[in-house]
Amino acid sequence: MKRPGLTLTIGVLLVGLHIVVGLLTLVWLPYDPTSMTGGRLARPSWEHWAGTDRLGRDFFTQVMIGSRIALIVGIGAVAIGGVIGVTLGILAAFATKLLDDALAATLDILIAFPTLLIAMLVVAASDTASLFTAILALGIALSAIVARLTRILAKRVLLLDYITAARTSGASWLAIVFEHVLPNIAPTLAVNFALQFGLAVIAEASLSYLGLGAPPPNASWGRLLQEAQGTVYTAPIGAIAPGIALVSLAIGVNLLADGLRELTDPSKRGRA
Amino acid sequence: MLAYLARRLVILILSLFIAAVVLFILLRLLPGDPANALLGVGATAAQIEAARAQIGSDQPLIVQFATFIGNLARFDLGQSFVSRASVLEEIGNRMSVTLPLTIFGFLLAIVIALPLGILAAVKANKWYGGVISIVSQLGIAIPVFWLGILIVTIFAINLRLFPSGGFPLKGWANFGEAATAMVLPVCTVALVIAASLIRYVRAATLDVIGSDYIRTARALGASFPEALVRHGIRNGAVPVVSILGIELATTFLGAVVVEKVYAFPGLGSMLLLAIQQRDYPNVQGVLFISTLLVLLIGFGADLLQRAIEPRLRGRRSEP
Amino acid sequence: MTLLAIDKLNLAAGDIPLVHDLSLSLAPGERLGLIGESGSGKSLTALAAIGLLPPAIAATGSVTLGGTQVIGASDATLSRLRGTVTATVFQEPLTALDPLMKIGRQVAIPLARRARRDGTSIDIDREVIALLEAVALPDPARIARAYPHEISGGQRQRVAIAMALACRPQLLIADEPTTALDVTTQAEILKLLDRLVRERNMALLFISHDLPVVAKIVDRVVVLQKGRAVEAGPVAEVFATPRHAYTQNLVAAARQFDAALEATP
Repeated sequence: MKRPGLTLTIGVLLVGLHIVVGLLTLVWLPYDPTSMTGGRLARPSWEHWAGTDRLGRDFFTQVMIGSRIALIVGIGAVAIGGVIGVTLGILAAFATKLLDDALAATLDILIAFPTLLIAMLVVAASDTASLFTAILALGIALSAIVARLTRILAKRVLLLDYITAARTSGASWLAIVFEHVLPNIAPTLAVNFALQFGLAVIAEASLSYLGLGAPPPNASWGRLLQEAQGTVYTAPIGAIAPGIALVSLAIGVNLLADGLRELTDPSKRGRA
Repeated sequence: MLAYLARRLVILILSLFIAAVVLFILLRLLPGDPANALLGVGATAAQIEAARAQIGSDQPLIVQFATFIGNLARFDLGQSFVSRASVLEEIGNRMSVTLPLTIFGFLLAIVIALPLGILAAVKANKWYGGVISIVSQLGIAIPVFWLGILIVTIFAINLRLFPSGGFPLKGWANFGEAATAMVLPVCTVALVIAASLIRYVRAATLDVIGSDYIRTARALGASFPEALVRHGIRNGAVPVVSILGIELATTFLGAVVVEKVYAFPGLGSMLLLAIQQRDYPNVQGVLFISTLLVLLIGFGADLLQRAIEPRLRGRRSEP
Repeated sequence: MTLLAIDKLNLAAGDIPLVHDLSLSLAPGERLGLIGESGSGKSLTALAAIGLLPPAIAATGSVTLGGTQVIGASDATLSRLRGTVTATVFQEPLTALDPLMKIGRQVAIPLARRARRDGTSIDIDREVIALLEAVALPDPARIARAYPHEISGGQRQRVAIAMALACRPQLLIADEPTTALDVTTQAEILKLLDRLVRERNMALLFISHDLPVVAKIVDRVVVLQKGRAVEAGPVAEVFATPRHAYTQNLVAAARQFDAALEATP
């Protein structure tokens, strides 16, 4: 079907675009995000590439900031989920049978709760909606999935012969984890992280859309879409631009994940 | 079989218990006294005491927890802080909106995904097979609420074919209006879930087509369609059924999100309002019922899978 | 009438040629062995003979089965030939059977189909048991009620042979039927195949990479190297006096192995 490498290239390009925009927002923005000088709900023009929102703020600026927020959310959630999940997974892989069984059962139960539900739970529990709460919530939700995957992969690796060889030659368990287990499971985990990045960004967008996310100036695309819904007839760009940005990042990340998978497991090529 | 059922039931109840514990912890982690939040600034000490007694926040934590669990077991979800209405009753009302949305959305998703997924696999080397595959890849990147906004804009606002939101006040008593209001939301949810399902159906079909048992059947005289129907359907169904449970749960959550797009008075809007108003019994109730539903769906899917797959039934097998 | 006639068969996957200019034929009752190492194209030849090549592989030349041209024929034509003129047993017993269907039912399907095509009526249950007995399966009634994962690999291969016999084919194609089995089971299955083929007067196309195995069960051999037939003839002759260098290597390697086995105390 697709040439191997094409998926990866398109994925990298799309994600790279958002990274560039996100980094750019740290040093330059077309307009001050809070300045309301543009006239309300103006159409796209040379001065305002995506028009303005209902308070007169430049919309393109807000979409750009959205890239930065989305990247922060994705990286943050995956980082938190990854650190917690991998640690738990490795511990479970080494644990005694009883403890491991209990952990496995708990993980299965946690995974049965969809990510969004857990995230809503955590956000509902915190007093103020903020970016950090959302990232924390998503990270916790993702960690269960990472933990289960790590546990299965790590256990498989620990059964391999060269681990026994390393032990008999005197290597400590800690050394084995860092020198053998982690490098071995890293490729599969990486593909998983890429997919979860996409899930986290979409989930945060959903949270923001529902009003449980961070308010401006940390407004994510979801929040922009929520605000745009009321004025979609008069200013459709408000509902279209953030959506396209969101979808482009999500597709980019998914293609990246697929491309990575092709790289790390050639037997799966042609099964896209 | 009975032993497995019993064990699975125990796990279900245990999961519910853990969910209750998590709910209890989270909702009491909230900073500030809930009684204060309820009454607002300017409440007298006596009023705060009364509120505390009602919530039970003057009792030691362990007593609170015991009462909490006891109430949950009896499905006594308390009363709303704001409206004093029974939480369970309100949830029941809202369910009449959210449940049909979920179920019909799910069924429509299956109706869309099955033929398209099979087609994408059987005609993988033709152009339309590839197109279906690419479209479904795109589909999983689209958040359900954005699709909803787009659909509302095109079909309700521009084309004026369907209402742009809302649900009749009398609910299903006003059947025609209710059904019309359901069309766009159901389609929204169905499309998003179908995008995900198509990938699984396609993968399962590809596996079946390339399988050795299909080859054996054909080598012994079965035509390709005959072999596919007789052996392929059941074998292909196994991996698909295993994710149907998850997809149904996702549909439920998707319905909750979509309710905001269409201003539907379902569980979703109840939850969001309750969170804003710090109406703890309502928040608690909706989250608990949602969790219960998700767990029950998982339980059902598990049972269904075991019914189809003899290898899971734990009889002795040889290498 | 030749049962199977392959004439200048060429198989290619895109640009990559897999089988060159292969010709062989089989008359009723004849036993032919197709020998070669992995990648020699022997399994593909078998698939080409019954028209079950994967879609990625293109076939040119002529393959006639029971007088009907296979290449380019429709699935309807081919499925009528398969299960009547010919039946096939494949290499992997663990994946050859439908995992969700009981053994008895899987044997009954080709039985019923053959009876339908002949226009005869049979007692299916009795015939199923009879077939399972014919392949020397112990306790056929229990096996008929079992699922594939509940019996061993060797037993599953016997079931596969029973299913092939149910078609009462004139030509039995066996594609490395014993390669996936342990040595003892291999010998048993070979003896079983030998007896059944003789008793039912079938022609046999036996594909293998294993010389001693093939030598015991066929009359003639064709040796394949990288998709080309490099030598052909009666089996005793080819093994006693191999003319092509490749065949000589194969025979020598087999002899060394035997010698090594005999030398060990």
